[in-house]
Amino acid sequence: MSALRRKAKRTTARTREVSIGVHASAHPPLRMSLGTYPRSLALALHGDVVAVGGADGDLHLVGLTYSQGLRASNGVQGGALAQDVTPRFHWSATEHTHAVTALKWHPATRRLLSGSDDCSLRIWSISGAEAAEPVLEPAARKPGLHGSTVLFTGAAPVAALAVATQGHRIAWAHGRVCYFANLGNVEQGQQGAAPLLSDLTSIELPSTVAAIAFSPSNKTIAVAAYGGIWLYDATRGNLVKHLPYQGAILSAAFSPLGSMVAGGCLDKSVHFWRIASGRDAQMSGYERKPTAVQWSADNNWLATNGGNEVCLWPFAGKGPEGQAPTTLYGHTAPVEQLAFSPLVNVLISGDRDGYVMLWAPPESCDPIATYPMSGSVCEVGWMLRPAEGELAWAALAASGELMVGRL
Amino acid sequence: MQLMCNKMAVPNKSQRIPVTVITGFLGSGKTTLLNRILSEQHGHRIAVIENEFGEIGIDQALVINADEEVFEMSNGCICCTVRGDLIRVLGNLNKRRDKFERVIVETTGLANPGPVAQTFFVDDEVSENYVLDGIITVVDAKHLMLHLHDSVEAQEQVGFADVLIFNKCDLVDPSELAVLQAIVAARNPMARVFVAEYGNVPLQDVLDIGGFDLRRALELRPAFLAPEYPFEWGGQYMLAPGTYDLHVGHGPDASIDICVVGGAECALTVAAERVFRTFSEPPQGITVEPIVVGEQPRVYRVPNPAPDQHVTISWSLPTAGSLMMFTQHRPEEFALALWQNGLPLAPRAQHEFAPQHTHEEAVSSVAFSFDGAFDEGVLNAFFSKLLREQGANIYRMKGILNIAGHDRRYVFQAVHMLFDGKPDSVWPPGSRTSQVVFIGKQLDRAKLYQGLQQCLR
Repeated sequence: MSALRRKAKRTTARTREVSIGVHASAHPPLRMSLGTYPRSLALALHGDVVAVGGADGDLHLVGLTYSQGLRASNGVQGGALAQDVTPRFHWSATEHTHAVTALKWHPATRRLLSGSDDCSLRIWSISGAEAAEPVLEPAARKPGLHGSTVLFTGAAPVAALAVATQGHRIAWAHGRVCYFANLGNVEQGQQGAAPLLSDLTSIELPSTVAAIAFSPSNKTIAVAAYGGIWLYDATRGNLVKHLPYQGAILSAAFSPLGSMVAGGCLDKSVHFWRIASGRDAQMSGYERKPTAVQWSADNNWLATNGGNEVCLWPFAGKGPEGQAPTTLYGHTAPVEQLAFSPLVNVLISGDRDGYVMLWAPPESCDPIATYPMSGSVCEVGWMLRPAEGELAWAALAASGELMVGRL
Repeated sequence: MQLMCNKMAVPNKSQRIPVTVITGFLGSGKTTLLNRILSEQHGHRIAVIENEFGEIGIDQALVINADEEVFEMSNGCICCTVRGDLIRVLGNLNKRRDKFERVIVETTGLANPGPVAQTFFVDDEVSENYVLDGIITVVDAKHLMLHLHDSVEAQEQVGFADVLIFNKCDLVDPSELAVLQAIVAARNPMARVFVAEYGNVPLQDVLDIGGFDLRRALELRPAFLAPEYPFEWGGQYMLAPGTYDLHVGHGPDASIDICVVGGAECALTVAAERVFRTFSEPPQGITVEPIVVGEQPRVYRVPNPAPDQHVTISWSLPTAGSLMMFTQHRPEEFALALWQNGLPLAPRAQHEFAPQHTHEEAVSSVAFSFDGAFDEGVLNAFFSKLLREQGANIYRMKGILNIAGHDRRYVFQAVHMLFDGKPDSVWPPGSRTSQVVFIGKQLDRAKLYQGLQQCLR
């Protein structure tokens, strides 16, 4: 039975409009093969550059062009619709000697940071990547990926990397040692006049760090590892609170209002802590370990994987205690990744069989769109295009296929 | 815990990547063995996960260093204790499956192999992509006894092993080596033992041993299945009809169990197999009236009399012939003898049986073979209960089972409470003998035997 369903899904990408007016673009998404075994993904703030880190230390940058005016033709009958996202460039460089395990755009400096199994943290020199923005590098340089500089070398592979949404603070971990620092004046640093990193603090945790996250206010940094989640003051680096649980916490996600932090656990449960009281709540019953834990932008839902379903815990009102979660059925293989859009409650999820689904819960518990990919989906995410007030989504498959579509 | 019923349905798992774990104390020669395996022309591309700083002399090998991270779960269950570093590294490796066909994990000298093995059962991602092919324990012949005496880890490393490699044998003389091998075999009869110099063991014997075959182990050591009996002595008397008095004196235990059976004309060792099960039934009390000895074996529990006293039990034998007694302790310990007309009788034949494990805390093993077919549901329930209650003491359990209604051999292994099994090849025509081995602490042979026996259809 399920085999038949899968077959049907592969041949038709279904799209469906729901009552709230959210719908996936009727145009087919951009699909391109990057020729890599991806390990990490970073989506640019301005929505038109995607960075992908590979298992062989390779880095890829893909520039995107969104066609204008095509959306008006969504209702046109007959004839195949053109792709409304097209690639502007695909640059690549290999400077890490091992897999690129962590990748982030640093908003304050508009620079790309990469961490690797080769134990180094690098900063990349890029010019002319963003279509709408002024060229950051000296104008003499041609648009392109101009290599990288080692920011820091640790004693173990880079396990996690996080950046403040505002300000210069960054946090990363080499194995069980976590570092906080300011990413300083990049241009000066390149001339050797000043260190690129300042105010460096290091903290040792009981096990290899699983995840790092900045709070919405950027004042607190959460570090997840075996034994719970540790909250640190982002500036001073002192421990604010330890939220304990005897188990390996795999992720750390602050609620958008900043009052809670949630993480999946190796023992097939999800925990969330109310930070003020430190109270721990456990949500269990998962078939598999929940690796992806994501809040909706309106603070009302916590989405998790942990099986072939997407599980939504209601956080509106008093919280999920005593309430049943909403379950989104549609995937027929374990859900690998999921992400809520930063604007509206639209969710993207990807499974091991290579299906990407878009959902608009809770109004609709069926996928509003399904797209097959050529391999197991390893990363998904959203890009906000502020100028247009528009959202685009991206998904990356283990086969090296990148898919980008518009909502 | 999902046992066989569900697992039976799981199809071919052969696409899982085999993982070999090498354990052994510091200086036992793990890295030498590893380098030997890597340098040999076997055509396999191997990824190595190292927990200990070793000098790997092979450049092209994919080597990942990881610090040992033992994750205990909040429920306190030792079986849920896993190795976080392995979960992480194996997960990352899985993204480059094209780069290797096999993984070798070299643990630190003090590593407990339990969590390492459990990682392959507990974590869904690891168990879906990898299969634990075998645990190789390298032992330093010179220091083995010291390590076994001093260290729980060394005992566990020996107990968990599928393959035991004796290294540094040139430092001990051959007779000493034979003794060491016997000691190790008593603790873990399941493991194949190799004597090596500089890790030179045949690769085919240490890699791809996942298709563990008890039959092979039996060929290597036929005494493997020699049972341990719940009694230490058996004697046979040929008697005329009449009443005989058994005198039991003061002995070193609170009581002594004695099994008596009449009319058995077979050898004592054959009868021992028959009365074996009787010992696991509740013993009967003794009476003042003479007890009629029948062909049905009966076990009587005789309380230990005060010093210089003795208890007399009268056996009444209705017909002439054999009377056999099997006693929990040796007769001299309880000044036990059969009397008639004021004279002690000498047994016509007697046999001493290997006593049941004497060192409860030490790692030991028990093995059984059965000719009948097991009932899937009953066996499932038995294993569930057994592993739930005694999983902590059972290091390893392996076996080949004949399940009623299935033509394929069901091959399984378990690490503590974790069970993994699958249907294997079709049974050859003729006999279908099920075999089960347990290795662990405080194993109750009689109970295990009885429990399994009850699962036969």
